[in-house]
Amino acid sequence: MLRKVRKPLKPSELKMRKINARLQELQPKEVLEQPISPDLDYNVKLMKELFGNSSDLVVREFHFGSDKEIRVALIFIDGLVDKISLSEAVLKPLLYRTIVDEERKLLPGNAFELIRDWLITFASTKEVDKMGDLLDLVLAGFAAFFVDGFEYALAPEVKGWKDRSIEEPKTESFVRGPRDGFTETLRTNTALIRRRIRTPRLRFDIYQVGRVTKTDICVAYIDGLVNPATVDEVKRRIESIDTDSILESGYLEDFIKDNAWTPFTLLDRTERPDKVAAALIEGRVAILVDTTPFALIVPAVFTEFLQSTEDYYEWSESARSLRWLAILITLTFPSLYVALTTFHQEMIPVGLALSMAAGREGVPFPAVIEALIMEVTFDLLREAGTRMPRSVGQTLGVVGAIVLGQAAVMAGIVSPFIVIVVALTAVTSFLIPNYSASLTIRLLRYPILILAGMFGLVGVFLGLMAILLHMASLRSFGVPYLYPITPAVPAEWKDVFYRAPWWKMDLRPLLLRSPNRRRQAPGQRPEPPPVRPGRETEAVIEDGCQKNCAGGNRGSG
Amino acid sequence: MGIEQGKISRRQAVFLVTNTILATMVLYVPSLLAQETGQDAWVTVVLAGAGGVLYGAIVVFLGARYPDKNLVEYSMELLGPWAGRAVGMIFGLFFLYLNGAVIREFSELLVSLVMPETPLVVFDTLIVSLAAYGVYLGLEVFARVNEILFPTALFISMGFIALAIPEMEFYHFKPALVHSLPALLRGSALLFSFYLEGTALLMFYPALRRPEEGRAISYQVGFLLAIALLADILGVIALFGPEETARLIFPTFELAKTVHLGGFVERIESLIIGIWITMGGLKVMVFYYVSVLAFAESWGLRDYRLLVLPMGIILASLAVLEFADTNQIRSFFRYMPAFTVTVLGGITAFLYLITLIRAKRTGGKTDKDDKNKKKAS
Repeated sequence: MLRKVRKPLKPSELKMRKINARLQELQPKEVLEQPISPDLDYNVKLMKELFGNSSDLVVREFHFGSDKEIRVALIFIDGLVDKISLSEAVLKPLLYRTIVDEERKLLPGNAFELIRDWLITFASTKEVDKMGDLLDLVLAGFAAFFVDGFEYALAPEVKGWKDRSIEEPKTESFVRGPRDGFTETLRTNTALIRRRIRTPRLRFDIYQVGRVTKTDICVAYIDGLVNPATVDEVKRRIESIDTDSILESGYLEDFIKDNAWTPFTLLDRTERPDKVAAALIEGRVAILVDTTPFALIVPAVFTEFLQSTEDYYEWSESARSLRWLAILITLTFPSLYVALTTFHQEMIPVGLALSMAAGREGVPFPAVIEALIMEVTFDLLREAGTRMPRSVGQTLGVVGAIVLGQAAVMAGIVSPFIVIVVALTAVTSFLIPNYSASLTIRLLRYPILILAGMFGLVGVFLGLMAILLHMASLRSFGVPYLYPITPAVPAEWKDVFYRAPWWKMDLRPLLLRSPNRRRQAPGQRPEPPPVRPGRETEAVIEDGCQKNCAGGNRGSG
Repeated sequence: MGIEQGKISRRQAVFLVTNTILATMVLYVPSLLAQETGQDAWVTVVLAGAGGVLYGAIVVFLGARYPDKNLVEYSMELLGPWAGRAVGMIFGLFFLYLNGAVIREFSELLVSLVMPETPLVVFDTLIVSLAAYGVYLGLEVFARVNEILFPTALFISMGFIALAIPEMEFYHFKPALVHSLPALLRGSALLFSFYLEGTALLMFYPALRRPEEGRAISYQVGFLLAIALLADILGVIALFGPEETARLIFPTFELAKTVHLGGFVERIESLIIGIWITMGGLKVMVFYYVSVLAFAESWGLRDYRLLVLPMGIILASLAVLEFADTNQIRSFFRYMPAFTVTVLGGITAFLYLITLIRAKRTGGKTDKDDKNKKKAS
């Protein structure tokens, strides 16, 4: 007899198998693919076993029917369901109404159909025949309703958990603009967007990611305005994630961004439904993650991080240019200070140079060390400030301002100028509306600072060029990161360096390759109405003035 | 089926070539030109510009003839693999050598003008590492960066010249046209030799998004260069006069030194250093890229990134080893025209002639194509 010779597995294959086996352990597949058994006791036992008698699993078994001959079981998770609606819409009809009408008597043989069609008065109810599906529903806040003798289960959607109410976003605060922010519940968030965009073409496609957390991830876009290729790419990237958990949109962000190793954030994130709505209308794709009040917006380019949504409500001409200036200052001010004081004193006007030299007298460190000490101190304070319990926040301000600033100068450890420099950098870094972008810019100060300490202005310029090169090499969902500055699209600079009035922005940004680029009818520039016969108020007023002036009684009016 | 997969727009190509030619030109040329032709230097700009546009036509002809192949690829097709490979190697070596000189020049400039106590090799290494990073990221990336930085640099330089206007004396240009024709031609040849560096375009011609726009590229490059050079040379001569300009080493830098504004903006010539670093860095990147790509194509590599690091080490050492001192650099740049014209002009003219002969031999087919292309553009 010939023995079948099995090819030995390659080490890599063996490894893959092991990995897969580990991943499978996260989900007991065999149990989940079982159909629901007609035996009620078995179902209940299985459910209890699956949950290991966890305290929040509620199992209620009861009999009903005219002779109490129909056995049913209701299983749900305490805290995820709204108990009032459960008892009103599910339990009450079953327990009170034993007979539907004369012809249709509740009997064990037709119980399931009658319950489904006549008794359960809940708006949304699903019918399930697989244990795994039912389990997922129960975990999502549905109730499972087994009837003895039937291979199906009913799952009324009685979701209802303690939820934060809609509040004003904490990270993006406005003077003018809507005050509602996303919450942790996906449905609330989609409703907030839907309320703003009343078109059936607004789509919310849902995915479940995370073998353990089974987090709902919602891809939102407006069909007809979005480039279908972008949506497909977003979906492809989300579908390819195989991890145990997605607890926040940040988990997702790391998995789906284009360049893994970059300090720059390649996706925009926001707490504001109005921002998401605006992005969707521009032809972008938003990704909402359940249990997160943050939505991701793709594709995102760097110039957007300098745009605040409020720019579009309260028109301020200078805001954009101020932010560009802020980026420049944050990035280069400390390093310019170091380069100028260390290598190029001749560039500083004489009077200033003298007072700076006087301020630096007695400081034991070279300028670059001095600047590094103060910048790191500031970052420490900032980090402490964000993590600190709110009640002690005051202390931090006092410690930071007086002890570290004032005292350090008086003790002669640092010069007063570096305190000004660091303070200014700190202020300007908060001018960047996007928090992640502001963090990145702050981080990039350090390499430039060190370059400035070593090579002076040459180092600063080389460092800035290296950063530019890096930024030019980045992409966000295929869109060049520095768009529309480079590749240059001068027609769109009206929304980059300043914000043009709405009637000027007739077209959607080119980068999104929207199938419908036109946003509005052209030529809507408001103008005063022309004077026409019948509406000659202005002429009348002018005439009146002329008469009065001619009469010489100017003072009588 | 080139190695480079990126695409660049017309504007990016124009800025890239202009920056490549202009970056070294503004350093020495005003002084050298003033030595040859004095106050009539502007005539040479016009003459050399005309020559440059003519040369541009040849370059664009070659590029448009093979819109999906770079210089090395089609010389291999035209001359056969071995001769083509040799041409590619000469091309690559030339740019490698010239790049060494350019890097040396810029590091020398930084050392002498900004940080006299720092050893040359430091700046040399810094510039090469930055360029290596840019070349590693690819043509598309540094073309984009150049698209931002070159106009900015040009704008600021023009601002400097405009701010110096109050100090200028325009009688320096009198008497006009007194220099002999040979002197003017010598000056023009000097200028023209820099235009030849535009041959680098042939290495990334296939990366153009619309290859039929080659002609427009050459005109725009010529126009930009003429404007920038005229402004620079006229400004410098009006400010210092021809004799003084001829004596200065970096007249443009001296021009920046004279700028004052409102008693506060003074001594901002270090900004000029910033401009030269960006323009020079990008020029070095282009040359670096061209030589690396030429070698990779001639050796049949699938990716040029493999060569970036070794070539960077060679470049950094070349920059130190090529010249013993500043005098040698100056004399190199004085006699560089002969070198450039022989190698770059030689290669281009050779390929042009071969293409013409081939076209004649194979009949009207290719000629027709060219005519169609001309019409299309």
